[in-house]
Amino acid sequence: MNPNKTRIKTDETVIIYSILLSLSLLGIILFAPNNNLLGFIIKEGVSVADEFQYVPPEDLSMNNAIQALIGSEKERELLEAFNLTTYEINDSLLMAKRYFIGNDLDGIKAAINKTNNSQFDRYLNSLYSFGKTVPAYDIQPKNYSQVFRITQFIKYTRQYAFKVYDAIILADEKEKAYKKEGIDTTEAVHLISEADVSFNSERYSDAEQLLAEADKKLEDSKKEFYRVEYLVFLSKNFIMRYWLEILVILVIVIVSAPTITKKIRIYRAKRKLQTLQIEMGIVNNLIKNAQEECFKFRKIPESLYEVRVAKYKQRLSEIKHTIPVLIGIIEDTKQKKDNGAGGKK
Amino acid sequence: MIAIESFRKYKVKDIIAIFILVGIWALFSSVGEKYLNGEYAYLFSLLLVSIMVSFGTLLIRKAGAAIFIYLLGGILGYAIPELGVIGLEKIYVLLIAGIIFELAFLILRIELKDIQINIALGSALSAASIPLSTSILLSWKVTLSMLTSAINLVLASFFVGLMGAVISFTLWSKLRNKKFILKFEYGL
Repeated sequence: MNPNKTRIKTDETVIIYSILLSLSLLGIILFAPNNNLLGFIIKEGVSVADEFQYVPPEDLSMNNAIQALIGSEKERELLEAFNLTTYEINDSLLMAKRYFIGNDLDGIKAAINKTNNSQFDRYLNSLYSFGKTVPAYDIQPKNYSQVFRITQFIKYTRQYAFKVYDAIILADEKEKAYKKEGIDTTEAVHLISEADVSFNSERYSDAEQLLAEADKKLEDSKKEFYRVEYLVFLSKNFIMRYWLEILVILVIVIVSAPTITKKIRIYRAKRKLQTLQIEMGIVNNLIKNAQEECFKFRKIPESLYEVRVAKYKQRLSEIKHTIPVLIGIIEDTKQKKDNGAGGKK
Repeated sequence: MIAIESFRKYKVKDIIAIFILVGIWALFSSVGEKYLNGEYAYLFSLLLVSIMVSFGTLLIRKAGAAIFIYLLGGILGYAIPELGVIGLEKIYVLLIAGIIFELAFLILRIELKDIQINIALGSALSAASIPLSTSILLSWKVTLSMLTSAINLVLASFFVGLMGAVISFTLWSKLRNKKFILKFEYGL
């Protein structure tokens, strides 16, 4: 083969190897599981807002909007009572107030004069004061629909937050209980603390996912723990539990071993005998052929004939030595069998 | 077309070679399991098994070599959780991986510039099957609930398998003309 061609071929192979290696390395980096078992390509980043669904109320009146805003204030107070952060809810509530007021502070004033409800009166007054402080660039168009959407979202967020809050407490308790049993909970602890951080940053959806991961880790660790325990139990108790079966198997093996060995020996001897007999015939034929080629057809010189025949004869003598031994093995066993049978008769 | 020429009788030297490859795999996996974290130990072990299986197939060139290596690895590493599974389930998982490798090896007879695509694809597909069959055997419900993670893991394993195959090709191209390999292959 042309050395240049070989070199080109090798170079091409090296290039393909490098491409394949780079491709697989890239694939591993992209898809390899990181701490929370998620790759970088396909992420499960779902926020609370993505899961929230707005249901428009039948009554879109001003009174109902005030009621919704007061409800949201209570939701916020509830979260604060549990020392939970409410930055996002505060922002949302401010936005809802802006949509409620719009650019119509006079309308709020009129509503205050009209209302008989003391709670509404207080809240509308606070809204009026708030409205006066809203800078012009932050004023939103008056839109009760937006007010209802935001207040529903605040309620949904509060419910979600409490759900995750409960889940963190439960995961924490579960982890402690598993740890007490001796199960390795290191990874779960890490995930729970990450979930706690996410929760405190109001990333409730992330926290929920991390808790699910932590729960899976705990279950995996538990499964692994019991499996290893069971394997240790099996290995420790195997001989004690199955001593009778082991004893019976050992006796059977010891009793049957000589018979099986003999049978295998005879079988192998017979096979070898057959092969050697065939080989003997072939070698004899080869000697005849060599004689014909040398003396009849004069194709090969006598010196070559002698070398060949010497080799063939050497092999023949080996075969002739081995055949009686093999026959001996076969007949000896047969004789013993016959003698055994005769003796019994 | 099925590679009929690969269906040949196994010799003692083939079995010894398989034992040596599995021994290397078991040894390095145990070391990896000891010093690496969960996911990295898994990837390392998967890379090792892919190298060993591909190299074993290149060396022995007989149908069933991959299944032998996987099965023997499963038996020797019965209680080692390096691939995320232990016990009988590990043997089932590795058996499935072996069958997938063999199917790719026997059915796809494609060679491109000295690269045996059937072995590369077999290695990648069998490696990808390991996390999939493990998760299905352990709990398909959990797998469904964490589908994204499972897909990522399967894809990562696919590329680890491919990388293992390429490394074994490189090793093979360096070693194929060495005396001991020639002796092994042709009994010189």
